[in-house]
Amino acid sequence: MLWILPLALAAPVTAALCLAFGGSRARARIAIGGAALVLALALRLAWRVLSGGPIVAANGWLAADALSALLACIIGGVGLASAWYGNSYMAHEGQGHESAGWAAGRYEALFHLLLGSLVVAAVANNLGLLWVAIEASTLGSALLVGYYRRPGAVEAAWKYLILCSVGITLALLATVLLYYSAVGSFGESGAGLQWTALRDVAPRLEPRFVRLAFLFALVGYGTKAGLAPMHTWLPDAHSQAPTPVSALLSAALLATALVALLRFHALAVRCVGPAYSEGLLVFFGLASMAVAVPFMVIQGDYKRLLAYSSVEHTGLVTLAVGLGSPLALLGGMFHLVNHALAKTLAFLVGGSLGGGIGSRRMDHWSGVIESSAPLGALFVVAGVALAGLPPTALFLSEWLVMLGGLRAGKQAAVIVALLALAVVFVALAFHWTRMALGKPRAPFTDPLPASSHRPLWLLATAVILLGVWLPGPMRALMEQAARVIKP
Amino acid sequence: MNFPIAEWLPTSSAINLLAGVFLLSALYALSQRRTAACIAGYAWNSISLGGIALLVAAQTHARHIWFAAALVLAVKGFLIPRLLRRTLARLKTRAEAEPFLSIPASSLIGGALVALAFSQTRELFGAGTTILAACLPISVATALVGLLLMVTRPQALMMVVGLVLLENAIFLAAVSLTYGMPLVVEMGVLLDILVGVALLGLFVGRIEESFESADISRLTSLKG
Amino acid sequence: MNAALVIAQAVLLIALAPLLNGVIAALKARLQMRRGAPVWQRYSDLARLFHKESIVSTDASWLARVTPYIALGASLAVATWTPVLLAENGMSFAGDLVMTVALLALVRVLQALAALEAGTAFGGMAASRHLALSALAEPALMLAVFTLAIAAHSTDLSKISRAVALAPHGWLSPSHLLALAAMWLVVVSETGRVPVDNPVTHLELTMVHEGLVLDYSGRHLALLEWAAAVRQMVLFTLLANLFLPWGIALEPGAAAIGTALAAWGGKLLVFAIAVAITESVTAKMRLFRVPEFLGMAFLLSLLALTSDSLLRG
Repeated sequence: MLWILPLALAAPVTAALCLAFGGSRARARIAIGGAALVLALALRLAWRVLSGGPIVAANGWLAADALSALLACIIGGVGLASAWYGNSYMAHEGQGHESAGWAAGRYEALFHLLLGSLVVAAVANNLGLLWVAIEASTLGSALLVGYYRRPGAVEAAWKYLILCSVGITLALLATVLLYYSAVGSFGESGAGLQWTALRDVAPRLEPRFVRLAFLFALVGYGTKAGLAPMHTWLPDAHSQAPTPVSALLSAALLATALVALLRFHALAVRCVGPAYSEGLLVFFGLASMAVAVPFMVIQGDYKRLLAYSSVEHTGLVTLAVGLGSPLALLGGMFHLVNHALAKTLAFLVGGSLGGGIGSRRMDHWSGVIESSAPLGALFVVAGVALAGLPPTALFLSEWLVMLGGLRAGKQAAVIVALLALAVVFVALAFHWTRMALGKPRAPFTDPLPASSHRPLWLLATAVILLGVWLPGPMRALMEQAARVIKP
Repeated sequence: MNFPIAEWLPTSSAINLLAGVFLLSALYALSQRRTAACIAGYAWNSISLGGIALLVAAQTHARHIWFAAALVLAVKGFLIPRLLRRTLARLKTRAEAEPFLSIPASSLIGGALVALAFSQTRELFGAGTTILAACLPISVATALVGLLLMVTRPQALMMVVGLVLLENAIFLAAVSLTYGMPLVVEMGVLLDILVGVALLGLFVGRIEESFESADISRLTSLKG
Repeated sequence: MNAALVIAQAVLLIALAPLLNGVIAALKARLQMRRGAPVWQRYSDLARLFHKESIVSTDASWLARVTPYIALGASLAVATWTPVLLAENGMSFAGDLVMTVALLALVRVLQALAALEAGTAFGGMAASRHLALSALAEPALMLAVFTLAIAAHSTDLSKISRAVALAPHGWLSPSHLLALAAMWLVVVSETGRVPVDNPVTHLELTMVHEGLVLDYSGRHLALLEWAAAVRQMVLFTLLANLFLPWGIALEPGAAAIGTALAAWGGKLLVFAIAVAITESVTAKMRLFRVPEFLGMAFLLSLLALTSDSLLRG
C-alpha cells in the first residue's frame, strides 16, 4: 500500500506541476525529478515485492506482483532516460519551424501523463482500470505523436488513434467476457474484474468465455503491442513522434500492452491449460518477427528501422512466453528489460545524430565514428545490442529463449525464430557498417550539449553490464515474474 | 383494451423494442451517404442504449446501474453527437466523397453480417434465457456494422462514427451479459471514449488542414 | 351481423379513402404555414371529374378504356378482406396476403400498359419507372408480411392480425420492428410519397405516379385517382392492423367495434401526421437513388425474416 499509491500518483502529479510551472526554469528540474521519482519508487516496490511477496492495495484496485514490479521498473528507467535526454532535445527542437509551438510545459505535462498512465496500467489489479489506463496512454501519446506540424505526423497520429481505438474496444469486449465468465463465481460484485481474485478461481471460470476473452484480448491489446498483422500503425507513429516520445512508445508502451495481454494469458493458462493460448502466442510472435524482418532489410529511414525492430523484439518476447518452458519465460522477461534499454539508447542516439546531420534517411548518414567519437561509440553499442550480439544482454536473453524453446520441445518455432534473427543480424550489420564507418559526407556537429550524453552512457553501460553479470535480486524478480505468468 | 403504457409494456418487451431501435439506427447510419445523417443514426443508437440501461436499472433496482445509465445517456446520447456535429460544422470541405463501396452493396453486406452475427451468437451462447436474450446477437451484429462503416467510407469523420458505433455495441454486450460493469470502471471508460472522440475530432480538422481534404484515402505519405 | 359488418368495413375504407388524402394535404399545408384546401376537397375534385367528359387517344385500344374500371375493382376487392375493425371478418375465403399482393401487381401492370397506349413520351417514361420501382418494392412487402405470417402459421390477413394482437407482447421483438420499418418504406414508395415521388408535382423529369395518369381525363381519371386513394388506404390499414393491431376487435360486439373504430382512426391520423411531416422536411430523392431506398426496405424485411427464425426458432 505504502509504495503502490505514490508510484501510481507520482507521474500525474509531476504532469500537473509541469503545467503549473510551465513558464519558470524549475520546469525542467521538475520533469526530470518526477521521472527519477517514478524509477526510485518502482525500484523500492520491486524490492518490497521481492522481500515481502505480492501486495494488493486500494481495495483491490491496485496490486503489485513481480511482473508488475518488473514492468514498473522498465517504465521508470525508460521514462527517466527519455525525460533527461528530452530536456535538452526538446529545447533544441522547440526552436524548429516544424514544432507545434505548444505553450511551455505542455510537452512535459503530456509526457508525464503518458508515463503515469503506463505506470497505472502496470500496477492495476482491476482489469477495467487496466483498460482505462491503456486507453488513456493512447490518448495521451496521440497528441505527442502529432507534435510536429507536418502532414506525415498528422497521418501517423490519425492511424495510431483509429487503429488502437478499434483494438482497445475489442479488448474492452475481452474484459466484459472475462467478467461474465466469473459471474458464476462472484455474482455481480466488482470482485469479478480483479485479476488476483480471478486468478484464484481461474479453474472454475467458464472455459468457453475465457478462450473467447483471450482471443479478443490478443487482437485488442495485441494491436497496441504491435503484434503482426495489427502492427501497421506502429512504424508510422514511432517514426513521426519526437525522439524521446518514440523511445517511450517503443520501449515502455509496447511492453505495457504486451504485459496486459500476458495477464489474460495467465488466466487462460490457469483455466483451460497452456496449450490453447501458448499456441496462439507462438504463432503471433513468429508472425511479427517474420513480417518485421523484410522491412528492416529494405528500410531507408532510421526511425522506421527501429520501429520495425520493435515489432521484431516484441514478437520475440511473445514467442518466448508462448514457448512456455520456465527457461524461455525467464529469457522473455529478461529480453523485455534488455530491449527497453537498447531501444531507448538507439532512439536517443539517433535523435542527436539525426539532428546533427539534418536528415533521418540512412543513406545520408556516414562516418559517424569519425565525426563524433562518443556518439559513434554509443551508436555502435546500440546497433550491436539490437542485432543480438555478445557481449550485450540481448544476446544472453535471446540465447535463453532459444534454449528454453528447445527444452519445451518446440524445435520448429525455434528454427524459424533463429532464421529471422539471422536475417536481422545481416540487415543491421549492413546498415550499421555503412553508417558508422567511412568518411562523413558533411561536417557534423552535435546540436545538443554534452550533458545530454549522460543518460545514454548509463543505458549503454547497463546493456553491456547485464550481458556479463546478472544481479541476484533482478534474477529473482524475473523468475518470480515468469511464475506469475505460468505457475 | 386499455392503454396504460407502464403495465402494458413489460420491461423485457420494451428492452427488445429498444434493441430493435439500436440495430435499426446502426443500419440507418450504414445506409446514409451524408455524414450528418450518420451522426443522427449514432445519436439514436446511443439513446436506445441508454434506454436499455435505464430499463435494466429499473429491473435490478441497483443504484449504480441507474447512475451508469444516466451517464451513458448524457455522454453518448448527448455530448458525443454534439462533439461530432461541431467537428462536422468546422470542416470546410462540404462535398461528400463517394464511399469505397456503393451504398446498396455495403447495405447488403451489412445485412449479411447481421444474419451471420445472429446465427453465430446463437451457436456460441446458446438460446438466451435472460430477458436480454435478443441484446447479445444485436450487439454483435451492430459491432460488425460499425466496423463495416469504418472500412467502407473515405471520410475521416465517418470512421469516427463507425468507431463509436462499435463502442456502443460493446457497451450493449456488457449490459446484456453482466448488467454493466462496476460504476468506477464505467465512468473511466466513458471518460476515455469522450476524450478519444474529442481528440479524433481535433485530428480530423488537422487532416483537412494538412491534406486539403478530410478524406483519408489521401493519407499515403508514410510507406514501407 | 357479420355480413353487414364486412360490407360496412369495405364501404368505410372506400368512402374514407379520399378523406385520408385530404387530411394529409391539409396537415401539410398547416405545417408549411398555409391555409390549404379543406379536407373535403378531394371529394369535390372527384365529383367534378365524374361530370366531365373522358377523352381517350384515338390510337389507344380497349385496354386504356377498361383499365380504370379494373383498377378500382381490384382495389375494392382487396378492401373487402382487409381487416379494418374486426380481425376475423369472414372474407378470408376470397383472398389472403398473396392475393392482395397479386391484385396490386395486376393493377400496376395494367396501368403501365395503359400508359403506353397513348404513345406519348411521358407515359412510357412513367411506366418504365413505375415497374422498376415496384419490382423492388413488391418483394420487400411480401417478405415483411411473411415475417408475421410465419409466426401466425397462415397467410390469411385476418389470422395474422389476430395472432399478432394475441401474442403476449411478442410483437415487440426486434424482428417485428425491422419488418415494420421495411413496411413503412414500402408504403411510402407505393403510395408515391415524398422521398420517392412527389404527389403534387407534374415536373416531367421526376414524376412517376402522376405520369401514369397524364393521358386520362374526366371519369377515367376520377376512377384512377379514387383507386389510388383506396390502395393507399388499404396499405395504411394493413400497416396499422397487421403490425400494430392495438385495439382491433377480436370478437364482434358494439363496444369492441367502437374501440376498434377509434383506434383505427387514431392510427391513420398518426400515419397522416408522419407522412405530412416527412413530406415537409425531406426533399425528393434523385430517381436513381430510389433503388437504394427500396433496397434498404428489402434488406430490412430480409433481416426481419432471418432474425425472426434465428432468434425465436
